[in-house]
Amino acid sequence: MIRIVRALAWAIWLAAVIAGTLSDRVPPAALAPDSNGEYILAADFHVHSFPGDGALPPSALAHEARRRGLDAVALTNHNQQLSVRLAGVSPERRYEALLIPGDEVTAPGYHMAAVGVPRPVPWHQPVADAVAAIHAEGGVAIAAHPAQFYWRAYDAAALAVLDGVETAQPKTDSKDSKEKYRQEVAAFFERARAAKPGIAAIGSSDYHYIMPLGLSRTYVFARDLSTASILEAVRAGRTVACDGGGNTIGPPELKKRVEDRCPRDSAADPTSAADRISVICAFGSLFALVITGPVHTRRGR
Amino acid sequence: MLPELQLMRAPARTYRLWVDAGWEVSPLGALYRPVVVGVLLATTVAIMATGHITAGLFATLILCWGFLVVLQVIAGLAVTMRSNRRVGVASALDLLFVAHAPWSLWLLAVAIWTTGRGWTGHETQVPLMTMLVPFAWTLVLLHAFCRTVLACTSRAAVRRTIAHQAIVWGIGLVLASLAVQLWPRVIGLFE
Repeated sequence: MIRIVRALAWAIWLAAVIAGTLSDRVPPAALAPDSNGEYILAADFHVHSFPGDGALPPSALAHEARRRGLDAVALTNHNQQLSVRLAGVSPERRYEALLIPGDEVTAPGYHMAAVGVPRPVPWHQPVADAVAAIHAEGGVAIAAHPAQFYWRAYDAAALAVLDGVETAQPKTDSKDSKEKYRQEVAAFFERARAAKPGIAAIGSSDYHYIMPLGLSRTYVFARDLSTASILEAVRAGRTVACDGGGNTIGPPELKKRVEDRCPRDSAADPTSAADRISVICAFGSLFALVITGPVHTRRGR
Repeated sequence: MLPELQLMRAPARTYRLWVDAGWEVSPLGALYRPVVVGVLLATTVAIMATGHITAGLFATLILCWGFLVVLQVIAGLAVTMRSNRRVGVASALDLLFVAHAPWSLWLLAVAIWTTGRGWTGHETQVPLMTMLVPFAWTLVLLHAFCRTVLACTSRAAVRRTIAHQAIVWGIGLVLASLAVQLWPRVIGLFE
């Protein structure tokens, strides 16, 4: 009897994987420029990957990004770029979504997304020096989850050279978010804007293991779909942050152009009914497989 | 009763029963349970990370995360070698992997909970706290395994249990510390 259950569990698991594979759909990339001649690209500038403290390797992240309607993703593991090296990520290589090499500078007093850098930035230095190092490598520096805990590291000199601030993050918009955290991030952004008007408003998911990638995202008003154009747009502050609640943060004239798209993207769910059934079957079959292992006693045979 | 549940309920008695009844499995057969753990790991990670499972995702993730299963096989072999075990190495490894059930069920429960809740993954207290249950349960199962299958004294069983967990958790924690860059964060606590 247990053998039959086990065989059935394997069959159901396999059917679940096949069903999930067949129902996997990726929306076509909307690559046409708008009436202003700009491409409004959706990007997530803070994503962790395997190997590192992320669940998915770069190739799987590229597919998942397209599935979630993202055009570009920055690979930002803590102080290392092993996943970038192993996957051979480079501006020339084409993926389903654009993969931008980077790292999350993880220092004692701050975290910063270094986007577009070909090698990790040394972490044991003040913010202003780290930003200079990022700029020297051709990247952009984005203050990551700037809650009050990290403020001390960002003096006036640092704020004046930053390229962007994560103003939208899952913690600032999820149902169980802390209002205090949201206020701290908003206050930091105001300080940064006072020091550098036109600093880029960035929305990032800080994706590690649990979906969804791109829950908070950035709309980038770029000249074309390339890493160079995206970085140029961030430097120029031509970005709008979109949080998971469909709210936008950024320059008013740019917000107008995405205010319909942000709530639509926030509510979008690529998981189909077939996916849900496949997941339920997968869970059920896995439970059965775990508890119905074979018994190898002479009597049990 | 189902073998994994039977073991979780009465570890020492169940192991004694199985060993007395002559548990025997080939080296290939002994890989079945590690394979189930690998399949579970890849499938749950895929679903938690993306909300669905596909063949490509499964294949990618079993290549990425399979090393965790290999690590546990190595730890199991390290603990079962050079003992007065009452069964062969392959059989001992198979019996050891029956004891993976608490962790397997925990991983499945977390995957179901996060998927069903639409959890964004930034509040980790609940999953982390619930880890204590499979952790403690595994210690009990491992001790029973060492006492019964490896025919260790109580003290030796404790030592081997600690050794097994030290290998698995030690390597795991080193890798995790490197991945999250623990050292700068620790410095930050004191600055």
